[in-house]
Amino acid sequence: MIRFEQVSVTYQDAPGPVLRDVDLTVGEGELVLVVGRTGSGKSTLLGAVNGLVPHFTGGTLAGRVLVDGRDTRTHKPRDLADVVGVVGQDPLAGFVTDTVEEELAYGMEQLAVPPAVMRKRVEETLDLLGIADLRDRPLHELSGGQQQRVAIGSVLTAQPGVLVLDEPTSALDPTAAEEVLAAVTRLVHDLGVTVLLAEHRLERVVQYADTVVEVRADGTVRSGPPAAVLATAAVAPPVVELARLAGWDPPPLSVRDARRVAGPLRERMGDGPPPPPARSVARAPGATRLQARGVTVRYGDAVAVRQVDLDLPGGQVTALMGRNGSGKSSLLWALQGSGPRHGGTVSVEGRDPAAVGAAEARSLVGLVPQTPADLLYLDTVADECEQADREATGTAPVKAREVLDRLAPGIDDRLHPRDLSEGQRLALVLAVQLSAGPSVVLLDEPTRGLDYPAKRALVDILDLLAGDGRAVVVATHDVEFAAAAADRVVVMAVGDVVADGPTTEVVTASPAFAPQLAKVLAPLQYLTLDQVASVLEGER
Amino acid sequence: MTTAAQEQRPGRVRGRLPRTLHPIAWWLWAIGLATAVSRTTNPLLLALALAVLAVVVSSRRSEAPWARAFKYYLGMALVVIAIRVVFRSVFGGDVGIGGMHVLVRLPRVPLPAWAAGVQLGGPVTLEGTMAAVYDGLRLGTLLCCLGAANALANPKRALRVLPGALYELGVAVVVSLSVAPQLVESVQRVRRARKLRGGPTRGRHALRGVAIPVLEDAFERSLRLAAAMDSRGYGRVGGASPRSRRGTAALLLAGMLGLCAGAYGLLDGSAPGLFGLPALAAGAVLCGLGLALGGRRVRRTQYRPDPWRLPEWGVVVCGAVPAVVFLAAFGAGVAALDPSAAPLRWPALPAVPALAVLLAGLAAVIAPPPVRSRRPAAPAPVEGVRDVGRVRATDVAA
Amino acid sequence: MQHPSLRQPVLRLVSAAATVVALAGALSLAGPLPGAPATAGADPVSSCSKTAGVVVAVDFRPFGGQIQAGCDPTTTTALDALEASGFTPTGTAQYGLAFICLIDGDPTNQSCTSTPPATASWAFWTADAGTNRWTYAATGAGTLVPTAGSVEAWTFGDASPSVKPGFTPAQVRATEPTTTTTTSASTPTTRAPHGRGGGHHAGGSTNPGTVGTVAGALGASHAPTTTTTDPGTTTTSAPAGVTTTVPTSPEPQVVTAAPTHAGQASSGSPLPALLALLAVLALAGGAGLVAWRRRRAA
Repeated sequence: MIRFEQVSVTYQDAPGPVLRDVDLTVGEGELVLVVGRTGSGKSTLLGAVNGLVPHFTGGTLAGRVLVDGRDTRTHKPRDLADVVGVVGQDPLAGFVTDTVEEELAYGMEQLAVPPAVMRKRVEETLDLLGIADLRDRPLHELSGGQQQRVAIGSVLTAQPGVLVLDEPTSALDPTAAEEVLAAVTRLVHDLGVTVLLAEHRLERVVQYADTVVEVRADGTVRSGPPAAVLATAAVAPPVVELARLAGWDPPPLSVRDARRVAGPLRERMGDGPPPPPARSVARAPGATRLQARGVTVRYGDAVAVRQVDLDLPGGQVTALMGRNGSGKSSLLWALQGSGPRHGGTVSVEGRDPAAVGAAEARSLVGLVPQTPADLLYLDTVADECEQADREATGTAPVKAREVLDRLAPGIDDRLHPRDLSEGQRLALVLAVQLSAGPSVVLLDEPTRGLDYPAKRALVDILDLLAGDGRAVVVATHDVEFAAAAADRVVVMAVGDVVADGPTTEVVTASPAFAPQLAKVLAPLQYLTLDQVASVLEGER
Repeated sequence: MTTAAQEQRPGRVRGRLPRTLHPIAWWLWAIGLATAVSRTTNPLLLALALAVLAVVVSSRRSEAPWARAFKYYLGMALVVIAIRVVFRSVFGGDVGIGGMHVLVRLPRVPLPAWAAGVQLGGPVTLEGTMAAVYDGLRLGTLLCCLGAANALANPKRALRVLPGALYELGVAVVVSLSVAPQLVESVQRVRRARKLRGGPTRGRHALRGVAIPVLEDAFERSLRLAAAMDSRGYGRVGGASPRSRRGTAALLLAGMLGLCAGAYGLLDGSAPGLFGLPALAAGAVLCGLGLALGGRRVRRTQYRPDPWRLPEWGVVVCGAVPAVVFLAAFGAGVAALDPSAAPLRWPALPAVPALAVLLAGLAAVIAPPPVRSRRPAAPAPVEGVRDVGRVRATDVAA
Repeated sequence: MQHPSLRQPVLRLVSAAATVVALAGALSLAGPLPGAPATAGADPVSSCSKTAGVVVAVDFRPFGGQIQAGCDPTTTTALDALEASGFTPTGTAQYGLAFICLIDGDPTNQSCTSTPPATASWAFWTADAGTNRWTYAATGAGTLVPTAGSVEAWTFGDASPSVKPGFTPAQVRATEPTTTTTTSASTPTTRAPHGRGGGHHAGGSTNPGTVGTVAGALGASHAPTTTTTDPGTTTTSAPAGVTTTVPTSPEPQVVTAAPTHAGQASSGSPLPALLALLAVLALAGGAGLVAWRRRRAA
């Protein structure tokens, strides 16, 4: 179906090729998972399938890519629209029309499909993806998962043979991600569509993959059965890392397979309580830094946060979890003082962040929003740090450059902030906010778009912050991240706090949403790999 | 017995089925009314036109959020009038003699000799202000005609009926129409983030901090949209040879030039006779040829096209009648359609044009009632506040 | 109530239309009441001299008239001077007297709703005291303050600075007051006060009481004898500075009374405005009611 023949891609002004001598064959009806570190060329590989590379992005493509017999060198993306459908990370950015039904029909209109056939296909696609009750809804009113499914449907109505998905679930909460992945696997198994999927959160999807393609740092590509490739890949889901640690070969890919072989390991772990997770900087909960009582946030008639009480002691990392729309973001903004707050009190060092000015509020509570790039507007990293120093008015301001060096060393001063990787940009914004010296730090969904090593680096950063005695709150969907980083988990739903307790307790209480390790080693409550590693070390 | 039978006669639909009127019909209606409005500065007729627009919009607009924007157009009309009055007062060069009623005397700012023709300050007369109000009211009413068309008809659906050769242009315009709400949302998000940084959110100093992220965001979003549209087949020519494409482009270009020359010739009476109607006709013919040639190879279908039935014709006629009446100035002299501001008189209300304007309001009755959606529109105010009210078992279990 | 949106606006529209038709038909027949014409008292040219006042000459020759001159001894603005000289300017509907559209009603077929085209409008020329060359005025008549003893001219046609008036400032300048009453045979014409198409009177009838001439100002070199011999259109031999090919010799005269057709009209009746206001309020009320009902149903 798809064939890459000695493909190399070099972008303009790049030091070297992004992809080097790629030889790849994808058969019909396969689900191919593309893995690799951020910036390793996954997007380039996927873009080469439908001709976006090089026709749209520029650059030089050496070699040949054949899709269903058509050569992408002579066929532009629009000529391949009936063969390849592409869905990106942000579905809203790709919508052309206003409502779901029109969006589904748009692709077929471009391909001159007869009207009767169009109507039939629209109805079928609505049923296939489970969005039939959304047909006349405006697109911007849908939730993230619904939008992603509509985006898939809109390329599906053209009945392409290949579907390319570039990180489709990165912005979705676990339930929505499950819906989207279920739809995708149904397409593969029921319709025989060939699917190429790039993902960071491999644990969700690796058990469905037929082939895994790893894009390595030097641009070469290795493909093969999932177990074989992931056993030695640079990025791997927790279950595979556990397999490496425990010496299982071939590594199991799903929780079910892992549990089948995990019996001996469970016995080795013994019945004792799991050791506390290893922290790069030791910390202990201290005095209460932030006290919130009865915080209420409402947007018109909708209540986003309903009378929430929260105490945040210093030296503790709290994970705020819950699906999209449960009020996490609204709560964080209300605690910082910049967001609306219609009731309740917040007290940080005796002051209310909403009552003092913005400059003083950020020296009490620092917030890193969902799109950290919104805060950056200067040309170089050095300029941003200097500007942050000028803006800092707290009692103990720290130089932003020093903070940045502690958090993410090795960032060149002359780089443009937009050229940094996601993790580096997050570190820069965090440094800017920390230069005001707040005692409470809030992060809203920082793990979007980060791969496993970057998430580990972020865990170390949060350890640093908590080790300084600050109270840290991270709003996230990522259970693996929360299990690794947080001491305490607060779960919100429809504006209320549903659960509040130590990480282990809360996270293992729901069998469906526990981290993979906990599911594999249940009923033992091990959350992170280093806990398992330390037990295995200890017994040696 | 008879009453029951009369009530339950099968096959008789009581009232009319709600459906969306063809968008071109609304646009033609609005253009007709705008043509009529552009021929008069009589404030009474213009006010009647505004009232008619308000009635038609409030009774026949759709449920979509963009359809509620008509009041902003009314606000814009007021701004236009205010700007005109201010400009007339400052730069108007009115003189306070000859029966003019002076309202206030602004100090005259002397200008150097090379700018002797320009006048700053001086007396502000009632007549001058009223002339500015009449003119501004006409422009404002024109804007409101456009706004009414936007509120009544989805402009995106109107652009879909363009001929094949212009389709790409139409889609580009459609996509650019959605830039404004995205920019608004982007600006709101970035200003919120600026507050986090402690910087000012208003004023000159905040401009850079707000503009750069918004522009970068818009740029990235537009790139992503372009990639998505390209991947979905936008711009497929379906096998037209480069020669025929060049021919189409040349014909269209020549046709456009002809239309421009013709329009210029019609508006400027002193242009040579070659401009004007001959150029207009030639341009139209060339454009038609180009569109036909370009559309020959393009194959594109339409999903559920809007039907064109009797109500559409009725609405178009309701808009065409005022245009004809005002263009030919039936039943009203020049003094009635353009009341003089100097000397100031109460404007007259000519019967025939007033009736023509009211006739345009009949479109509210002729057009079928708009489709009401089955559930109330729930606005999503800020990111992260969606799905409020749906409790799932997983939340409780976690 | 099914389809309420159908009935209410219909009733409202029909009632509003009916009231408008009934009353507008009856009352719009009553047009604006005629007003009393205003008279413009004019100062004879004799009141101005070479060093005081300002002389204004208007060239009516394109309309079949002649060049008429008047005087304003108190110089305020050029527009004031025009009016005080006995001419009646009419402005445009949009800008009023800031743009002169008609003078004494000429040209008669000019529509004054918007500014006339550049090829057919009044041009304004000035000549300071002691100069004999016309300069195109750089500012409007409403703001220009003429110097004492200067002369102004208004000509109709292609209003560009290159087409100069067909007569010289000297020909219209005021004489010394003592030579006012010299009437020679070279003053053949009497003009009726109505400055339009009056034609020329041949012969030598003069009205010394109301008519002053400035023929004397032309000086002896003007060869007045030539004018007497031609009863109709006369062509003068070129006097100093004038290359005239115009049929008549310039015979500026003073207008003593303003014509009546440009008189001040009354402000008209406010009844149509009230009617329209009622209709607008009715329609707006209907629109508001429908909108409120929709919001309630939503």
